[in-house]
Amino acid sequence: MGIVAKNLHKQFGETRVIRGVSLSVEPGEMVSLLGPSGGGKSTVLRILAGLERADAGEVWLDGQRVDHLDAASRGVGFVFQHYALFRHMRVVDNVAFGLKVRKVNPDEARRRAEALLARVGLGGLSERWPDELSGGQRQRVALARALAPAPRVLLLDEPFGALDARVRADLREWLRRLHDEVGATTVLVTHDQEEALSVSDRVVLVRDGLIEQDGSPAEIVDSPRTEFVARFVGEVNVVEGVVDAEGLLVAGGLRLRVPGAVKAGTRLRAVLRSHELQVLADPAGRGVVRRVVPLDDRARVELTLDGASLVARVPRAEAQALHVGSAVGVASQGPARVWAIEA
Amino acid sequence: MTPRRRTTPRGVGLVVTAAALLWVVGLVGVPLGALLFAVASEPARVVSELVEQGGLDALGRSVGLAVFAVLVSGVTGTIGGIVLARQRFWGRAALDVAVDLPLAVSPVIVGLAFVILYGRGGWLEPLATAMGVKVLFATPGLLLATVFVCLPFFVREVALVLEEVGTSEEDAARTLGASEWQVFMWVTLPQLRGALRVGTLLTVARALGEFGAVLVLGGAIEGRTQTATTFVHTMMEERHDAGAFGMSLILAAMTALLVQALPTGARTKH
Repeated sequence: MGIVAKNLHKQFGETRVIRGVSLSVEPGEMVSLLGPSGGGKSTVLRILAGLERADAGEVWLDGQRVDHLDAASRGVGFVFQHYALFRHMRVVDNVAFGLKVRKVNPDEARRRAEALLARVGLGGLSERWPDELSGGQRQRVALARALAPAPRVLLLDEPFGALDARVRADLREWLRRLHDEVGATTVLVTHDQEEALSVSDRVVLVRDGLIEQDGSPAEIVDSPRTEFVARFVGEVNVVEGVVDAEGLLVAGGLRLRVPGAVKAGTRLRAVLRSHELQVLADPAGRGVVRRVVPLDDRARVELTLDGASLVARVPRAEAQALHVGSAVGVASQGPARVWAIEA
Repeated sequence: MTPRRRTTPRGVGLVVTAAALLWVVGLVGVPLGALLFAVASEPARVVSELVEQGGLDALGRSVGLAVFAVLVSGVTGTIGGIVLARQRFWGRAALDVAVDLPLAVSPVIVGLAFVILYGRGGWLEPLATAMGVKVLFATPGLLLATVFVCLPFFVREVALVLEEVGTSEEDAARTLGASEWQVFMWVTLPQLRGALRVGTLLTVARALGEFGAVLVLGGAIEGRTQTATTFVHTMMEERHDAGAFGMSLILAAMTALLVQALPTGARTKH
């Protein structure tokens, strides 16, 4: 079932939370709404679910306009950040709730709930109370509960936001597999770019109630359309400077190639990904290493160059030669992504 | 081994504990003990005065009033609490304050206000007369007084719990297809179980113990508007001390049982 949102607006008191968001999700697709907290992405999700009413704009599910329908009539599965499990019901009754509401025979409802619990890997926990489960388990119960009535649309509001990093990473891989099996059209709200990029077919960047960019994970990473997107994705250095006579941008102690021909004297801001910086031990270099943090196959190097702080990610093998206080030469590979500085 | 260090020296702790115990014993234990002693020293007279002076009738009336107050404010208070916690409307802040008025204003004053309303020439007197209801010095007056002084308990407990649990469970139920009635019956009401329990206990305790308002509105007429507390008052005035002691002990025992039934400290699970 496809989802279409047209020009949504929403205001809480004086605050304009959504200022014209349009969105289209194909049947079976998994799309992330990514952006900083308070940008309005959760509100978009709640409007799609019917938990919130838009001030203006339209919501279509499966080709039907649904703005007049309340949440109960939309048949949309919803998973909340803080689980929202019914604390006075056992796990199995939580999962069976949507079936009970639909007057499914209790034995049948229980059988289906047990089957779903087994599917999310919580087979033996049916009789537990929600507060006897870990966060990760609770969120899987919440997911099983949302899936029980077999919705064709699944909306997830920061589902892993309250979990620790390890559990998050496991759960999101698991979520993607589940999505591929179940096939429900899924919209995931998250402020975690890694989560958005790793699980979704498409990422929609939302900021201040507006869409900044809507594209595949590769497009978001490789061709950011706005400075905001460039800065939001990945680990970046932001440097400002002036274009010199040779057409190179002199910024943050670096001389950067700029795409196209730019007039000398133009002020520009460059966004450099940490992995695009090359750091080499060089006694004559102007950079000084401040800190080296080992990651899996790379190392994160924090350094200063002519007074500016920069961060680079280099292969572990290259990092072996770098020590705190050692002098290094720094260069940027490829043309820099640059944006005009608004006066 | 970490050195064991008490946050307060042993001596200070002992003194504080002893002082607290003494305070409680002196304030609660001694008077209750005296009451118990007074009753135990002449039980036959206590029983006979309770029976002959209409004590049982008064006690029955008080229990009836308490049940009535629980039923009425259980329903209206739950609705009021939901409105207060969930709705945003003009005048909400004023309502929020007004709910607590029965706690802040002396019941005697409240009784007087009702006397002015329903007494001779009162604003509501024609209405009551037209409906054939006698309010003052009759059962309706007692009911009115009791319901009024018990107003805040259910509202407060319900609103407090609802604000604490938030709306996400209710929203979850909605997305699962539950109608508003199902959301209320299967999600909201179970969340309120503890609040309704506490509300009931507080309301019963207050209804049993109310004195000023029922005296002013009811008049403490034996066999008609005498309640347990006004009975104690009447007995004292008529020098039937034994009856007063007996009824006081019964009320104290009932209150103690209620306090026992209140959930202590942590919210009981499930």
